[in-house]
Amino acid sequence: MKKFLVILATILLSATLCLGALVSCSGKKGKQYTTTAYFGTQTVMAIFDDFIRNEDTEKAEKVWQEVKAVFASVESSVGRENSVLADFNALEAGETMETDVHFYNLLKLSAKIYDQTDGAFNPAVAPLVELWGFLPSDMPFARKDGELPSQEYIDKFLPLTDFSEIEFSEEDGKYYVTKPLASVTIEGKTYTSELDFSGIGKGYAAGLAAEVMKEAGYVYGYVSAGSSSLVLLKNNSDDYGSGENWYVDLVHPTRQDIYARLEKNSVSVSTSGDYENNFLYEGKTYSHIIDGKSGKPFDNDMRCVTVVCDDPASGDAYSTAFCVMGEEKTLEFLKNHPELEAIFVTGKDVLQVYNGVGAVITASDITEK
Amino acid sequence: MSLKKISEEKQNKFFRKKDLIIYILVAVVIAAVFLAVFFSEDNDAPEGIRIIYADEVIFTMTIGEEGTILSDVVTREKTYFGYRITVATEYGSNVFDVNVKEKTVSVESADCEGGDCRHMKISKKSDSIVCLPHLLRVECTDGVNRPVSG
Repeated sequence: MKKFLVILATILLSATLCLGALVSCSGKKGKQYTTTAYFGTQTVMAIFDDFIRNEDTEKAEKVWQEVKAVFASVESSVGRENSVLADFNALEAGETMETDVHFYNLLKLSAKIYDQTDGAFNPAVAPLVELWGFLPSDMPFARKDGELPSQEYIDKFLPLTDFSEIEFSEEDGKYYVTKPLASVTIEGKTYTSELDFSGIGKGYAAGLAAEVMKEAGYVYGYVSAGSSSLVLLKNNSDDYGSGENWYVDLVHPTRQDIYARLEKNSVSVSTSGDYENNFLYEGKTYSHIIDGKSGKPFDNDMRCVTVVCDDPASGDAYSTAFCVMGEEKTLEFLKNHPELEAIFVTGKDVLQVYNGVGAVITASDITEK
Repeated sequence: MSLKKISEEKQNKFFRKKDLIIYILVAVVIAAVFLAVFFSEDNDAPEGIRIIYADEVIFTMTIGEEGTILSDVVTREKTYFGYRITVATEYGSNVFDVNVKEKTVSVESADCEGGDCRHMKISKKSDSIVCLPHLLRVECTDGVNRPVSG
């Protein structure tokens, strides 16, 4: 009888151990949810969890609905149409309006990074983005295929792009913004300052979405808004990374291959460059990222910049700013900002890596090509 | 040695050879079941795929079925091993082979510059095929794609 009990106990113990191992190892399965409903790009939420019971899947689906609601809310604030932003852009010069919290948060963050980067990140270049044909526009003189916009119009719009002239405030939980007084009249139509948050809005939304995931108790996963804004939680699968780090593959802007692989968790990864939205004129590439000082697409050796940092909205803004600033100014800037890591590819196809806080780059070809 | 003594001896010997063989067999069976389940989870083949062009889903398929064409740029033909899916857009053409038995998707041909996608294959839920020059992606509907940036 004693022996029988020992055998039984052994079998039960083995079975329990194996079952436990199964649950802890293979129970963490990945689920991915995607939509193309927001910001004209693909939004992805990936979760790794113990999807054993029906409730686990139901919970993930509920969180996905909340994540989508976050993106919808941010887009209704800073999207181009039917939004708080559209209402602001339609204001007369000097008019004030009440905004929502997203708009206020992005104004505040934009102002900080505008100052830090000496205007390299500037959401007020919107009229020039329209003039260069990168945003829908009713300007009769906006760039058409096979031509560049006239310098005369660029010069006329430049005074509208001073972001520091935009006033915003918070009073008793309400948010207000006032349009600058500057205006310009061209061919009988008056134009005023306008904003475009496309260089920061997706990262901001992805950051809020990641908070929703964390608040729901998820530890492993990621959320992305297009390939330019990515927020990583932790990884728990060898298929996707090493230890708790995700492998994040960086795609080369011209060769279209993977030129570097980051190993990261609990950070945001943002990429900007001249490769995704541009046009070619007489052999030269013109990017959608406009330099607020020249009024023209940035014109330097930068091809693309990836920024790794804690805040995805800031990462989006810095990666855009670094394109405008160019290699030399960016390296100088990064020396004073150890919280930022940046990797960039220049026009000579040289990869520069700035390891502010010890980035891990495992690609074999990170030297000069 | 008397029978009584032998019986006492047997009772005192806690593990006999036969007992040990049974214990080992039980342990091996449990370990085999564990390993089989564990590794089959790890190498999960994809159950379904979708093809995305410029962030729009243009084709979905549960592997084994004929799938749903959601755009004029997609054509499909039956092959010996499964299906051949052709995507022809203003950017160029990609031909994907879906092997139903092996549950894999590979690139048969692509006229993109560089042709990096021609080396890509989906055989696990974590795999994807990306052709950036043609704005095309093939993803598993029941898996998670690796994060990329750029």
